[in-house]
Amino acid sequence: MSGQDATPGEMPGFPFTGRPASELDELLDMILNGQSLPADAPEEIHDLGETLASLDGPGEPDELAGEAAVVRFALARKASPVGVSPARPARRKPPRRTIPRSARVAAALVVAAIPLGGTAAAYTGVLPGPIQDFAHRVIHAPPAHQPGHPKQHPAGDTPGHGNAVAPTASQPASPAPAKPNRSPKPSKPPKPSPKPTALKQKAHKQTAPATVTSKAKPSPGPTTPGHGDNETRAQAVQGQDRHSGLIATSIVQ
Amino acid sequence: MRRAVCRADTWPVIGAEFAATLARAQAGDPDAVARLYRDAQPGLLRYLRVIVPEAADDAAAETWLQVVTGLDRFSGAEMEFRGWLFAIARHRAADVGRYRSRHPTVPLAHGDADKRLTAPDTADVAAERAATQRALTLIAKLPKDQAEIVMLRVMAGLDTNTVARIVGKKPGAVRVAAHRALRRLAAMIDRAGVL
Repeated sequence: MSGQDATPGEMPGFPFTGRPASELDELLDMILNGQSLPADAPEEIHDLGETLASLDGPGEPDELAGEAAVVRFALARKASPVGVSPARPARRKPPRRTIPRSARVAAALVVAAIPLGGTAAAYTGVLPGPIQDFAHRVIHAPPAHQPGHPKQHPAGDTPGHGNAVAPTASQPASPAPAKPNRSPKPSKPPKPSPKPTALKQKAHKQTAPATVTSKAKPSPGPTTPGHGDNETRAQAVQGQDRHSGLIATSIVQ
Repeated sequence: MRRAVCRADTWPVIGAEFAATLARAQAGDPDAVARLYRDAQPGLLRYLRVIVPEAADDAAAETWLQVVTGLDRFSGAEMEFRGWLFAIARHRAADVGRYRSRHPTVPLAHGDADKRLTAPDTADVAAERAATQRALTLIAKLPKDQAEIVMLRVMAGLDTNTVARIVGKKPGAVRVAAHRALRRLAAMIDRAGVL
C-alpha cells in the first residue's frame, strides 16, 4: 500500500479536499486515540468526533439484560471447579475410527507371545533341527537334539516327546549324526514295555539334579552316567552357563 | 465554535480499581463479575451489532461464557482485558455467523417493544441513545473491515497494535484502514447532515 489517502472515486463529496493530508491525519489520529480536538479544527472533524463519541453512550438496560445470567454462570463455575457449563454442553470431539481396545490388547499379547514362545521352545529344544541350531548360536539355547543325547528337560512332559527320548536314552550314542526323531508319528508304534518307562523315569530323576549342579558349579565331569555323548552334554552345559540361573531353572521345571 | 472534546471519555471505566476488581472476580465475587460485565458489555454488544448484526446477542452471550470460563487464567491490565474480550468476541461472532449461515431463520416481525425503552429515561438519555444508534447505523454502512477497525479503535479504545493482532493485519494497515474509514464516515455525515 503506497499511501493512506483514499482515491477520489472512493469518497465522493469528501469535505477535506483543501487541507494538507498530514494535518488531516493528525486530526484523525486524535479522534482515534480519544484526544481532544483543537478548537480550530474543521467543523466536519468536530461532527465526526461527536458522532464517534456517541458510540460510548452508557449501557442501556436491554444491553445489560444478560448480567444476571453471567453472574450466575460465574458462581456456578466457581462452585464446580470442573467447569461444566450449565448453559452449553461441552463440545465433544467427533468420534474417531479407532481399533477397539480388545483388539489392540489381543494384538499386543500376540506380539509379546511370539518371541516368548519361540524362546521358550528354543530352550526346551523342541524346535526343528536347523532352527534349534540357529537358536543355539544366537541365544545359546541347547543345541539340536541328537540321538543318544539326553534332553535338557525331563522326558515325558509331552507324550509324543517322551516316546522319542526314552529309546535314545537306552541306546549308546552313535557317532554318525542322525536326525532327531521329532515326528509326531513314529515309524513304529511304541510298544508299551516296562523297561522304557523305567528308563524314562530314571532319566527324569537324573537330569534335573545335573542341570541344577551345572548351574551352580560348571563341572565338566560326568555326573550323570548313561547319558551318551559327554562332549555334546558339556556343550549343552556350557550353553546353559552362559545364561541366567533363572532360565535354567525354568527349563528344569 | 464547536465543542473541543471529540468523544465522551467513558473508558476505561474501572481504571485504577481494575486489578482489584479482576482479582475479586477471579475469586468468585459476583459484584466484581457484574462490574466487569457492566463496564464492557455495552461496547461489546455494539461492536457485535456492527460485525454480526443478526446474531450479536448470541455472540455476546457466547463471549461471556468463554470469558468467565477463562477468567481464572487471565492476567493483565484493563486494556489487555479489553483486547482479550474483543478477540474472543470476534471468534464467537465468526462461529455464530457460520452457524447462522447453515441454519437460516426467519425473524419475527418487530413491534414497538424493541423501540420502547425499558427504564425511565430523561430526554438527554433518549437523545444520547438516538445518537448512538445513528452512529452505529453510519458505521455499519462502511466496508466491514473498516467498520470493525473503527469500532475496535474508537469504541473499545484499543490501540493500533492490539487491533492489528485481533483482526490479523499489520499495524500500518490498521491505521490506513482506520483513516479511510473516518474520511468516508465524515463524508457520509457531511452529505446526510446527521448532526
